[in-house]
Amino acid sequence: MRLACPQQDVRDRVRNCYAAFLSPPHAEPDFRLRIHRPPASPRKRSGPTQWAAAEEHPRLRQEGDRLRVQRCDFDADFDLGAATGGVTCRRGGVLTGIESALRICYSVLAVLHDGLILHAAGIARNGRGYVFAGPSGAGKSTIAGLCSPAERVLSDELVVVRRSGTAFHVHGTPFRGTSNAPPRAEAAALEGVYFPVKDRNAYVRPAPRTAAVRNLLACALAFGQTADYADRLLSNVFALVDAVPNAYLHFAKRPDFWRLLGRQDAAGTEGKAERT
Amino acid sequence: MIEDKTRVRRSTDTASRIIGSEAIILTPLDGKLVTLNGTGARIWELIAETQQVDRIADTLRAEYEVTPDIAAADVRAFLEDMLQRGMIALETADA
Repeated sequence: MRLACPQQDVRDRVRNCYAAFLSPPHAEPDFRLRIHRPPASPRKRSGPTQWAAAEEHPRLRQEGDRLRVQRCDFDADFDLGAATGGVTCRRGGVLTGIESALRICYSVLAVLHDGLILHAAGIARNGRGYVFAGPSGAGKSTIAGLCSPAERVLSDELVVVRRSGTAFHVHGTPFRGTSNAPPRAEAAALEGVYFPVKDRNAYVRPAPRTAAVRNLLACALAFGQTADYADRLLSNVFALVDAVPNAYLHFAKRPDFWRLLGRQDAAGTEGKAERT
Repeated sequence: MIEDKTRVRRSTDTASRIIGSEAIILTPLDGKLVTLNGTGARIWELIAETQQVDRIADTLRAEYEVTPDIAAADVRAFLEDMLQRGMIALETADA
């Protein structure tokens, strides 16, 4: 993605924030995003009352390839067909608005490119990728925090899982959670998807296929508004569930769970999904 | 109001899969995920094309051990709920 920021100070802040994820300047982007911050106007600045009244969740409207997103701190307009978009930061921290817009944009693009974004920690170990997906408090950052130097945390908050050929890979994103591990612009062939459960002992319990699908959908960051988008999301989730083991990972705050992970943990054995 | 002669079909604003005996349905406009049990999934299958409500109840009565009155009442209640969620659409008899 190429970010175009007319204002030098915004450009510098974006460059600094996403330093590990910058591509070479001449790389051809898959998507171009303009970032605009209107000039500051003290008379129009929002007061605390307006902040308190502002809605927290973005409002979305999609018509065909055009996706419009509005939130208290930004407006965004994406043309998915032309692979272009614009973000206007309205107030507050400019990076907050940019990051929110980027998350929404990536969530839509990932589905259109045979993947999805998951609320998950992604960790590369011995060249293999492991995804630990779950809601806040499930243990994503705890697991990331237990990593030794032999493990590389791709992100402890949001990862892209995407099919290339017949295999899925997990990709780091610049979006970070609460662990101290900085996200990495790296990818690894996906070995398994695990749903963390904090427990006194470590063990793995295969997730039935239906449960795995439901859990992944619950963890998916999905902002598309059309039935076609939802259909592609379902296809990608089912393809992922069928491609790698899916299991509940019960773990204590010790790194001994690693010995349990891998392809020996067979997934559920329910029947294949049918498009309805 | 869902009645015996009402004709229903899935909303085009949904995406779904049948997995095992369940149906998983996404409604992207509100970002909701709905899972239906076996009976609900069977109705969801039936309304892939426009169906009259009493025909759906007849099908369920033939496939499950249930009396005609209970089948009709359960189907209407289920479809009312789906209608409230925006997951089905009604068609007029002459559509």
